[in-house]
Amino acid sequence: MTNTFLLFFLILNAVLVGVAITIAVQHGRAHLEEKRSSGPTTSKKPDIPLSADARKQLAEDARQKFISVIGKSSIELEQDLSKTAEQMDKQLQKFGSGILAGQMEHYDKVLQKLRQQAETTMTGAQVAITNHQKELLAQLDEHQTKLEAEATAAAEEHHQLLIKEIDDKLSDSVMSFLIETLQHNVDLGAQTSYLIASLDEHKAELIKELG
Amino acid sequence: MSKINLPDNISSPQDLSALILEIRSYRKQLGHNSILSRTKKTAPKITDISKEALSVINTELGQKITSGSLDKLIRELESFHSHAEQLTITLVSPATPDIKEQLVGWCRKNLRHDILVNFSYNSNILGGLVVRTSSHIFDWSWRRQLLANSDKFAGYLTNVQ
Repeated sequence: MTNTFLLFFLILNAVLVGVAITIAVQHGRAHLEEKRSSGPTTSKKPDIPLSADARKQLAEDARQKFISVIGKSSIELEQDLSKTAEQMDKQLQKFGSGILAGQMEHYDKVLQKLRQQAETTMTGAQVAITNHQKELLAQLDEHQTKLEAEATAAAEEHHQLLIKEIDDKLSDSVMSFLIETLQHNVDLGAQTSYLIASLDEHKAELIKELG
Repeated sequence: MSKINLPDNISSPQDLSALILEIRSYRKQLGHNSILSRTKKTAPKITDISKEALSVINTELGQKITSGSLDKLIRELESFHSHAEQLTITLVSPATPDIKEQLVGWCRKNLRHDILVNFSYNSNILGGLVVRTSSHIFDWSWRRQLLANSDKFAGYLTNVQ
């Protein structure tokens, strides 16, 4: 951007210098032409003496010519300046438009690039979010399955415990009934053969114990 | 091991102690009668002794019943008392003499002839017997068998139709 403005400034200066040189050259040429036109006569002394009125008239004519030349030069200068200004304006517009277009194009590119980056990031984030959701759902399903299995196992274990407890209670009830019932009215005589049979069954143990 | 064979109705250490006392008393009276007979005085009648004591005396001494032989018998019985193995049999109710004789007879026939048996009872055992030696207890009572197999009760119950 700075280089562009520097270039523009240099071109502008070059144009102005050119204009000034042109004007100077034109003035110089005009002056030279005037000298040439009046040069040979002035180099020679007039043989004929002029009257005052004639001198006056010559001076007036010279003055009018000078004025016209000046006017013509000024008009030309004005035209050149107008053309130069017009060209400079065009160049400025051209440069401005070019610079603006370049900048706009640059901005467009940057924006496009940023937009693409943003879209890429968004897409990546969306994919990551989707994957993470899938992972979470999979973990949730796994955890749910595990919890269900644990709950089922705990329920089954509790069920078995209850069954065992019922069996134990029932056994204890029957044992208590038998104990309470059989404690009384026991006929030892009827057990004599059973007692002898028990001793026969465990005879070896008793012999081993008594040596 | 003692060579004396006690009758089965002399089962416990207490029975044996009573027998020894009875024989000792008999021996004392016999001694007195011997002295009186030498002095040609009328000897008092010897107090009746139990059948068990008389049986032991006749079995062990035969016809040679003298003070000396009785003293020897008493010493042997005392030795028997101090060295005999002892058992304690617990039944569900107090044992009758007949049951005691059968059980003691089995023990002396199958285990040791010089064994003394104590009897006790405990209604909690429901039935069967508990035998206790000096170092071990053998529980063959119905209570223990019922309690040991209580976990099988549920299985039997499920098989009932």
